[in-house]
Parts: sequence; C-alpha cells; structure tokens
Amino acid sequence: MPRHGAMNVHGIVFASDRLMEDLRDDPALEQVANVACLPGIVGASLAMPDAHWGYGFPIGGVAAFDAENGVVSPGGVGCGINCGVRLLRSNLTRDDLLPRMKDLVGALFAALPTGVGAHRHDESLSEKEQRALLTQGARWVVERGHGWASDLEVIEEGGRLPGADPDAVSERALERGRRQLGTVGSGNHFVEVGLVGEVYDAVAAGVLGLHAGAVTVMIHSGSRGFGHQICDDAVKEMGRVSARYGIRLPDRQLCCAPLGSPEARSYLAAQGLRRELCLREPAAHDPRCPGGLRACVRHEPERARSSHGVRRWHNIAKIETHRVEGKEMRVCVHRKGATRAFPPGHDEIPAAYRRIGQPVLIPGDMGRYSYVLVGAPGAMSESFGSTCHGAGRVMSRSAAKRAARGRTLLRELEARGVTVRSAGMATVAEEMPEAYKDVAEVVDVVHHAGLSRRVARLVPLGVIKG
Amino acid sequence: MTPANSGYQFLDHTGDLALMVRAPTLRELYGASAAALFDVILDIRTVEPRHEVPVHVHDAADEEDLLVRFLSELLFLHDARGWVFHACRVDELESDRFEGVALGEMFDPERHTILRQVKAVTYHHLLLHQDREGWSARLVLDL
Repeated sequence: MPRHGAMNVHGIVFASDRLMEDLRDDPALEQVANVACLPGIVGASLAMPDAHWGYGFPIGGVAAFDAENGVVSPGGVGCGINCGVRLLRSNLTRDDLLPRMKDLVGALFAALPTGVGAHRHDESLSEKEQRALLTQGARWVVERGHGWASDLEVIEEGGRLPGADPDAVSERALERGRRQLGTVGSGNHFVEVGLVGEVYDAVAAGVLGLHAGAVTVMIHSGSRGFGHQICDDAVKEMGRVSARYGIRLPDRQLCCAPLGSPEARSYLAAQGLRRELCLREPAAHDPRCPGGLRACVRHEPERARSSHGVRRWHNIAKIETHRVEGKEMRVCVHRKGATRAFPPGHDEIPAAYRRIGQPVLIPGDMGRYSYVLVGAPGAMSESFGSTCHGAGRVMSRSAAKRAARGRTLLRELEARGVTVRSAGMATVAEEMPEAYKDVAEVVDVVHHAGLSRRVARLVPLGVIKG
Repeated sequence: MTPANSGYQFLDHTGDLALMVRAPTLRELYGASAAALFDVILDIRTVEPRHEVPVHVHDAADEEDLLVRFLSELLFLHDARGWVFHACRVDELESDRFEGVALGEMFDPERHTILRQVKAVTYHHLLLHQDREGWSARLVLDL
C-alpha cells in the first residue's frame, strides 16, 4: 500500500490472492493506512494474513515506533492486553481419550469457569493478596500449588517483567479483575483437547515435546476485566492528552502519547503488569486440566500429568531492538492480534527453545485444526519479529448467527469428531468454523514469507468455549 | 427511561460489534444507549428496575466522549460489581458532565442469562448526530 495522504510510511499486507479477496473491501486496509499516520512509526504499517477489521489498529496489525520520537497507543494493543494461548502436552494417548471424550469435556467444563460473568470463588483475592501477586511474579502461583517450578524456566523473561509497576494500575482495574483470576473468558476464548495430527519439523517438534498422536491441551485465555480496565483507563487518559502533544489522530481510538511521556510510561508499566498477571492465569488452570484428564486414566494418575508447555501472547506493546533501514534501533513494537516470532539463536527466547526459534501457537476455528510454528529469520527483516495469531474472522457475528439459523452446529461438529460444550449457544453460532478464514491458508502465507515455520498441526477432539 | 420510539440496530462489523442507537432527544439517547449496551450483554427484558445506581461522569472532552464515558461507567459497574441495567434516568446533562442513575438490579444467575461479554465501548467510528428525526449514536463495542 503506497504512502499517501498523511501516512508517514507505506503499508504492507501479508496475504495470498485468496485471502486478499476477503480483505479488499474490509476496513482493515483503511486501518493499516491510519496506523501509518501515527508519529514516529518506522519501516511500514503491517497487517498479518489473519487481518480483519478491528477498532483503531486492524486485528493482525503490527507497527513499530521509534523509542526516541515515537508513541505508544493503548488502542494499538486493545483491551485484550496480553490475551494469549498456552499449549500443554499430556502423556495420554488417543485411545485413553476417545471412549471418554464426552465425560472429559463435561468435567473440564465444570472445572473451568468459562464465559461471561465467570468467577472463581476459590481464587477470589483480597486487595492485599492481589498486590502481592502483582509484585511477586509467576512464583506466586507456583507457591500456591497452581503450577510447577519448571514453568518458571520456560516463561518469557522468567515471569518477571522489568518496569511493571503495581502502582501504575487503577483501583478500578484491580477491582474489575479481582474475582476473575483463573477464568478463561468468553467469545473466542476456549480450552481445546486435541491430538498432534501431523508433524512437519520433527526436530523442533521434539524440542517442544510433540510427536504425532500426542494428546494436547490448548488454552486461549482472555485478558479479563483487569486488562480491559487498564486499556479503558489508558485510552481515556491518552484521548485527553493526544492533542496537547500536538498529535493529529485519524481515528480517535488511535489516541497515543510520546514514549517518554508520563502517560506512556504509566501505560507500559500497567500493561506489563497485566502480562505478569496472566503468567499466573494459565498456570492456575493447569491443575484442573490434568484433573479432568486424570478421569481418563484413573488407574495411572501420573500419566495424566502434562508437560509445562508453551505460553504466547498476542496483544502487546513492547520495547525491542530491531534493524530499520540498516540501523539498529530501539522501537516500541505494537502487536494487535499478532505474535512475536523471533528466529533461532535470538537471546530473548527462553534457553530451552533458543536453537529452534520462538514457539508460536496459532489456533484455528473449533472444527478444523490449529498450528504450532517457530519464528524464522524473515520475521526480523520483514515484520519486526512478528507473525500471525490465529485464523482471523471473515464473517461478522451477526452474519455468523444468520448462517447458523436452523442448523444444529453441535451435532455438525460432533459428526466431524469434535465434542463442544459452551457457556452460551450464541457463542457457538458466532464462533462457528465458517466465521473464520482457513487457518491453513494463513499459516501457508507466513511460512512461505519466511516469518515463521510450520512445526506441527493439531486436530481438535473436545472444545470448551467461553 | 427508554422511550417507545427509541431503539438500536446492529451494523455489520467483522471483528467486534457495531450499533446504531436512535432516540428523539439527547437525554433519551442516553437511556436508549444503555439499553442497547445491556441488550448485547443479556436479554434486558429479564432485568427489573429494583435499584437506582448513581452515575456521575465529569470532565468529558466533548459530547461524544461523554457518551462513551457514561457507557464505560455502566460496563465497569456490571463487570466489577455485578450490576445489570436496562435503562437510566438523566438528572443533569451538559456537554462535559452527566449526572443521573442507572436502573437495574444485581446479576441473578437464576433469572439472567449472560449472552456476551463486552470488554469496552470504543471510540472507533464513533458518531453522535442530530437531524430532524432526533439523535443517533454509532458505537463500536470491543467483544
């Protein structure tokens, strides 16, 4: 997309011809151009192949801003701050699961608070506990028995983020998040039990503990009220100050502040905390997942224990070093529905994965398949170390509901071998497989563009939707 | 309260949910917008006006910002404190200030079924418009 109007840089959309057809009339392209107008943007305003219309940034949008004279935009991260995916590998086999799939999905559905208004009475924290949790990092969860010490070794930056500051978070954010720790979230958030269907790179798969036929658990947990309120607070604050900093906005939701400003520092500190918190959320799910899986192998409980797995975020703004026009520079990379995918050898990848590249989890829709990828060198030269994050919606929620009318979606999915339980039928209709692009096509684009490499394909057997 | 000739319709949006809300006056648009927001979250016919919860919004940048801040306040009261609303009463309305009450009750799982979670009321494609037929607001909700 050539630079025009108030754009400071050009736009690049990674897509196949077919995916481009879906995007041609989508406002996501206008949003790519809007992001290109923000001050201090470097390189290009990017859209990954799963891009679609968002609010402010497109979903699937990536943009980097010069740390010296650029901005941070809370609308460029969205309200799903650090919403992300976790993958666990179980020692169970397909034969352990298949005869008991319905019972297992029922047990997981009962054990994991999903959907809107989901609260955990067992995890409700006092304000004091909540602040202790924010200060102590992922260790807090492990000490409370909701995770394993080995988790800490594979979490990015060991589960402690420099600059994250509990005082940067409003009382309102703390209050909104207090009862939601350890819940999954609603809409497109889910817990999926599946199998490794195909392995494309045996070496990388081996490092990740995956092999054909292995049973996996994938968790897409939402930002929850804590993250939603951090975003809401920051958008309102930056909406107030953007004009004062002389920033002209193509869309009010793109409000932003210079990276050195108090508003920017406060937002980055609060956003980092949300990530700190979510380091604990999936860990808090873990004992429940093996708990459900344990029912499948009552006589051999040890086999139900899962590997610690991989955790990846896809809505984030982060200060990183990248090479832009031949020069190394510090930039604030915004990934709105995009995943960091650093190549093999990068020193910011946890040591356990450094030789294969940063693991990337790409969930598809609930009826087809999902992918495990690893970062590749092209990501550093083309996309500020980023790749796609999912299939990407192709149908609006109302269009999906119209398409679902008169159909028995749960039975259709059952016929495809996928048992689904959901907190609400509206979710099943809005999240139906046809509402999404074919994730295989999205992954093909990032694989061939050299942003990341295919490692394995997972097929779903049982899904719990929020 | 929500007047009979107020209402809302869904607009097409791939990722999230866009609404067009209409009402004869700006004050009534606040009630209609509150009703529309909560009708996305649950069936508001199941919400009874058992309580009046005070809502104050000050220092908005303009009328559009005031409407978004007002709806964000209702969303906070819902998500953090468990309220569900179906209408509001406006006591004072200026371009930067809202004083009034939201009418509703505490979420009761026996009677209320939550349909969707709304993360935020956004400023994207936000439009507040007056014409001969009254007022309208275009709102994009982050789901």
